Amino acid sequence: MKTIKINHIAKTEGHLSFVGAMLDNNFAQAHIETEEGARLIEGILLGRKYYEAPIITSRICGVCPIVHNLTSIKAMESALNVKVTPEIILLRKILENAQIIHSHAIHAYFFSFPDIIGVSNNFNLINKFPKESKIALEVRDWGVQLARIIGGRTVHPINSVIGGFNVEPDLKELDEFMAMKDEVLKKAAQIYNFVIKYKLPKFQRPTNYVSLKSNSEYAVYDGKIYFSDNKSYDSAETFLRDVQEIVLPHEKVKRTQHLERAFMVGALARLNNSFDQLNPEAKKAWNKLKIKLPCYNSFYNILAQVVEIVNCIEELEKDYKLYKKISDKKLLVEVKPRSGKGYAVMEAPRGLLYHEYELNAQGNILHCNVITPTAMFLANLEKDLEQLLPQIKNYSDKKQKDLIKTLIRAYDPCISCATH
Amino acid sequence: MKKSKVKIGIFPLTGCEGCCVAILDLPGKLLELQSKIEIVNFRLMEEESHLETESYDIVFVEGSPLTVHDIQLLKRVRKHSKYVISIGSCAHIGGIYHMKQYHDTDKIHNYVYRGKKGIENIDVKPLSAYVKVDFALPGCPITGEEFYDFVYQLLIGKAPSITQNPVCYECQIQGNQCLLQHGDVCLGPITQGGCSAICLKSKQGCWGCRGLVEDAEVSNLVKKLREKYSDKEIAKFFEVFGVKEMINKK
Repeated sequence: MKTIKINHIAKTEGHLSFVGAMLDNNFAQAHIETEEGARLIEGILLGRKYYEAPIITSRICGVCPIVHNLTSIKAMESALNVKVTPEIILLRKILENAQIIHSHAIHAYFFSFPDIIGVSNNFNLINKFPKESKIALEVRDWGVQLARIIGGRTVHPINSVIGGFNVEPDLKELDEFMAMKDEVLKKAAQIYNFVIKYKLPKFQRPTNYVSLKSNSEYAVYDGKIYFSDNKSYDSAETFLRDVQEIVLPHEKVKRTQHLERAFMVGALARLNNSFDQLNPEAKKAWNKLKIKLPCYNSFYNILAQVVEIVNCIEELEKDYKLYKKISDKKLLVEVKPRSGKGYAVMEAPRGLLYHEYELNAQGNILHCNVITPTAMFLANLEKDLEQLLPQIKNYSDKKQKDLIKTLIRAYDPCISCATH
Repeated sequence: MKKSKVKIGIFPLTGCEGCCVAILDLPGKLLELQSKIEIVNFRLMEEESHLETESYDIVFVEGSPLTVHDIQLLKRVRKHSKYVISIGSCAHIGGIYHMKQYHDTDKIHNYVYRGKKGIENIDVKPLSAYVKVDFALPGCPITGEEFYDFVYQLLIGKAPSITQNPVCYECQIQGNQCLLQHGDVCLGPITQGGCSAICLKSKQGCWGCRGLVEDAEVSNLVKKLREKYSDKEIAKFFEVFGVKEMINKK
């Protein structure tokens, strides 16, 4: 029996290792191990005040703090029966799309694309492709700056709270950045056209794609939870009816399954489920690949992310126009503690994120559960790796390891999130 | 022989890596620096994992030592580096995750892992509980500007320093509305500045992520907060980023 072990896989968020074994010619076992310590965030929150949750949970992850903050806020608002205004929702959508842009730009271009072209150090990547790297950084920075203006800071938002926003973002500054939209859209398309010149590994494994879905838009903030394999829908409240979290001994990350099967979340899942709702430029970009949907090649998650960058730019421009049209904006509504339960889901850059809380009458947290995208897709990634291993059994050791890392990184795992 | 460049290592332990992202959020400065020094083990930038036994001029450590491996790594880099600098609240004063220590840690471990055994449950402590730390870049997260200024100060041989003024001072310069006067909780008077009172700009009271400023007059602040909050409530605010431990040590 041949075993393959890769320690400390870099260029992911958080620390992880891979262990795989070929059981015979056709069967393999694959396992991802987290090297992060247990922070027990859900336990920490017990007995703390409701308004601390969005601040504390954003510290689960420094790459996607915004979506933890917002999902926590949404869950708390449902527990506290707080109804926010359309202008608050629009600002949140812009904030989330900005987060997806900068997270995807760094992942797709700087973490995963180098795998495709065989460059391991990003400083070398920048030297090899100075023009494209500069453009990728500029697209990312645009997302970072929008997130800063609305959230109050680039990492760990401050301004976004239960009930809305403490202060209205600087509209003059927002206008300035929004005026760059066409240019940024062009740059994102340039990156996409550059990246698709390189061939992705061949791979096919149909699975259950799970994402938010809405008829009116490419859902990231709200929508029903759609399961592609049995075409069923769920809501945040009922998400754990068919989805189970599995705690294994000695495993810091809980695995997740839907009706006892692994499932996939993230850019490719969203694109497979909501292609029709993509904006025109994003649709045009994906169609260049001439691939029939659903796409079962998980490596294409990388390209789905770049398509989403294009889509997010188009989407947040629409949202901003709507936001500007609203007169007499109310950006903060009243919040009062009360007892209750609240559930929320949102699309993080890496896929579906679930937060649930229970509060007592004083607004103290009695129960909390956070299920992150990486925890959701980890079992699916392991299934993919188990199919990949026999496929590449005759490759050299180095080539095998490179491909394994390429597939792991294509999923954009965030082990900090998964372990929390 | 070519004079070797100053070698910097960046090691995130368990944590959110938000401080590393803050460094990355100023890519122009990172690339400029890269031409002057050698940055290794920045795992968000490169594949090659550098061994902790290489020697370094400066090592920056982010996060909390929460696994046996984290603790060993921290001790090893200390041995092989001229300077060890903590970045962020977690490494500096325990940070958000340190709140774990105000709970029965076995009980919340059981709560999260539903009674399953076999997962390390190490107490959350700052780096200084394990090794000598030469300097701390505080904040949750650190400010990217402060990080680069710090590296440049070291490169020109200047002893690095952080201005010792409270957040309050910077807040007043910015002309923000005083949240403390307004009846909100704000630890601005006792918290080390350098953040441009960024939270206050978004009308969020300071919760002390940068730790206590020198000569912090904690009792004055507590007196003010008692007008509206119970001692238990006040203590809870001090817990969030680890200020409570600093006050206890005073």
